[in-house]
Amino acid sequence: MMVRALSSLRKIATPLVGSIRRIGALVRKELELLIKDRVALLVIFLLPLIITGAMGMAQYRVTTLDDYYKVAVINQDTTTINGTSLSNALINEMYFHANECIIIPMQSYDVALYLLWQREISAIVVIPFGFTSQLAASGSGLVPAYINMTLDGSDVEGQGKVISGITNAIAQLKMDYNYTRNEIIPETQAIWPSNAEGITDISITVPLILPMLLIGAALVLTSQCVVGDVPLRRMLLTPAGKSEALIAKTISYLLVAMIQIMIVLAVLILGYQFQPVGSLFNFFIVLLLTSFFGIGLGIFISVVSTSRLQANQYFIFAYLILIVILLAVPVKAIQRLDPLQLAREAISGITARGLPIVDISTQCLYLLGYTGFFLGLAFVVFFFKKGLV
Amino acid sequence: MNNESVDIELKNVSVKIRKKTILEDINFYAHRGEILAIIGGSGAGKTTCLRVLTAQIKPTQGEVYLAGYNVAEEKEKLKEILGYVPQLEEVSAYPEFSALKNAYYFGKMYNLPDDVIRERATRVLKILGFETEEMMEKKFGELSGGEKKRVSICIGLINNPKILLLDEPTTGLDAHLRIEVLNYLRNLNRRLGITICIVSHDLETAEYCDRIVILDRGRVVVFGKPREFLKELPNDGTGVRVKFRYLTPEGRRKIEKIKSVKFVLPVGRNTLKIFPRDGGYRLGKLVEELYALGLEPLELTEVDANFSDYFRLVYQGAFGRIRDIFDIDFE
Repeated sequence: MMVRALSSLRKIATPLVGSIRRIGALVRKELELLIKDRVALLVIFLLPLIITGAMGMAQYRVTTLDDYYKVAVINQDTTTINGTSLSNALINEMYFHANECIIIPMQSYDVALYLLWQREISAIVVIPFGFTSQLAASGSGLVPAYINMTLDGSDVEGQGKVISGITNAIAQLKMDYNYTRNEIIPETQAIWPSNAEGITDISITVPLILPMLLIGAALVLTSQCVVGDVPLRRMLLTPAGKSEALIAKTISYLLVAMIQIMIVLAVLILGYQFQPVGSLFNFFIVLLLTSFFGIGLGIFISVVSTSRLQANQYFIFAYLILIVILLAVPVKAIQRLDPLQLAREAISGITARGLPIVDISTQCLYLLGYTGFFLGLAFVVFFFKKGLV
Repeated sequence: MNNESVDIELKNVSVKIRKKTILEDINFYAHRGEILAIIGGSGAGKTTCLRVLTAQIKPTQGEVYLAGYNVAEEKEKLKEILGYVPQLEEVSAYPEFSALKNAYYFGKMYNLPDDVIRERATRVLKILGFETEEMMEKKFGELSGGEKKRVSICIGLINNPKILLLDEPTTGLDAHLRIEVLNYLRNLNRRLGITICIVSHDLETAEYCDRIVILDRGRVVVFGKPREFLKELPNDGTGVRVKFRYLTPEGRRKIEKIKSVKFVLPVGRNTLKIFPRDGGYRLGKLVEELYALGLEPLELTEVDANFSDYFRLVYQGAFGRIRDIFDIDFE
């Protein structure tokens, strides 16, 4: 009985052991292949290092001038209490306690508004006439004191930082002057997008999502366009030159990008009634520049890759790096060099503020510069690549 | 310009790469309208030869002429005078396009007018056995291996080159497809009068060529016309293929000792090709002698030697490495 049981157990166990051994060998083979694949190693080790490194950098945050939000303060209050101007005191508190804000006293609201439109400043705080007297009186149950804050509606992060900084300064003022029971209400309004409902979701998501979508789509299309075009190697034995082939590919994908952008615009305008404040043509040009960057990077990836698989790996790696810099790197100065951020700024400049193309020329030139760099490099690498024979 | 009737010529060509000699004093040629095969095993120097012919490598010494042009000096001319057919299927053409569409795009690289491309492609495809428009419009990716090779040849001919260069045209094809492709090449050569140069490791290719070069370790070991080589064999290469019920090595040795027998080549487990001496060939006498040795032939067929037989017979002794070079199963 025992022998029979052992025998049937062996019958089951033998193929199972064989199968486990084969799986073991296959695992070893996979690992060995991975070790020999440099790009895979890059994805395995460098990518987590970059991502976690970027996240961890938040605690060692490097603060540059770009990380501060400039707030214009216009003091219209001339009232005093016992010879003290509480509006001046509030400005003083702002200097010291409005964290991450640079306080710039100004006289003219119009000038400040122009600067806000130009993105030179992030908010305008107006301390109205009668602020001191109202604040002093508000403790006895009268009307509270107000300050007016005009915020950049297209900069969600900036709005939060400015409100937090000013609220902090108000709290400090109330403590320092023993007005803890008195009320100072910051009346806020966000402008750009300036539609009646205030900030709509789509006006925020368009500048954020569109660059990711366009660059991602361009990369998907182009990152295999040379390495995957195997018969091109034979075609290059004809009078067709390598540079001709790359120029043709760039033009083709630009045409595809134009169609893509027109579809996106049609959906945004017809489906969601999205209306950019600025010119639709400028909006189109910025989107095309964004796609063009994706095309340049994609063609470069395609030229340097030796296989379709490697091109895919490079594509994922490059795209993740762009997103990580945009979302996780806490240094604004670095973030602002990210093509995704450049495109975001340029798009929001047109869609939310109606800026002319001249006012976003820095972002556009940077995008063009990156594209030129990657395309130029692609031409050089392709030139030296071995031919078919 | 070199000799006008010579389309392919390598004169004292040597190639050294990092002090290593890859080709040494190579000399061969082919006349206009001939089919030349450059044959060799792995490491023989075939690929280097191909790269020299397409001006990808400049010889350390010697000169290369194609259609009368010095390849090193007139590199740009090559794209006009040379059609190239690659070995690999995936490099040959776009799988999504039909034969005609592929020919169209490759033709456009030469700035040829649409009607010229269509006319030329249709003509060549017809010679290559694409009888119907439907076949010509079929996607390249959906064609069989042999058909793909033929489309690839058509693409190589779209610019009406003087010389068609084929890299391993029979590799990866079944035996019948190999013969089919080689026959089509022969047909093309006759109908279009084009000079063809085949680079191959396959000795079978020699049967279809006017001239062959056999390379070994970067040197020419054979150069000439296969038909003339066969004439060197006894009885102009005529022999007998004999199938036995059972053949031992001892039996084979006995046959080799028969006076009227010059060479014996095994062509199967129990089959031999027997080549009698000059003048001593009488089929009836041979049968008698076999019976006398106790060997009963099941089947006897008169056969002509092919180039593989010649190579095995003549060079097996002189070049003992032949088995290694060509991967031939002599048994």
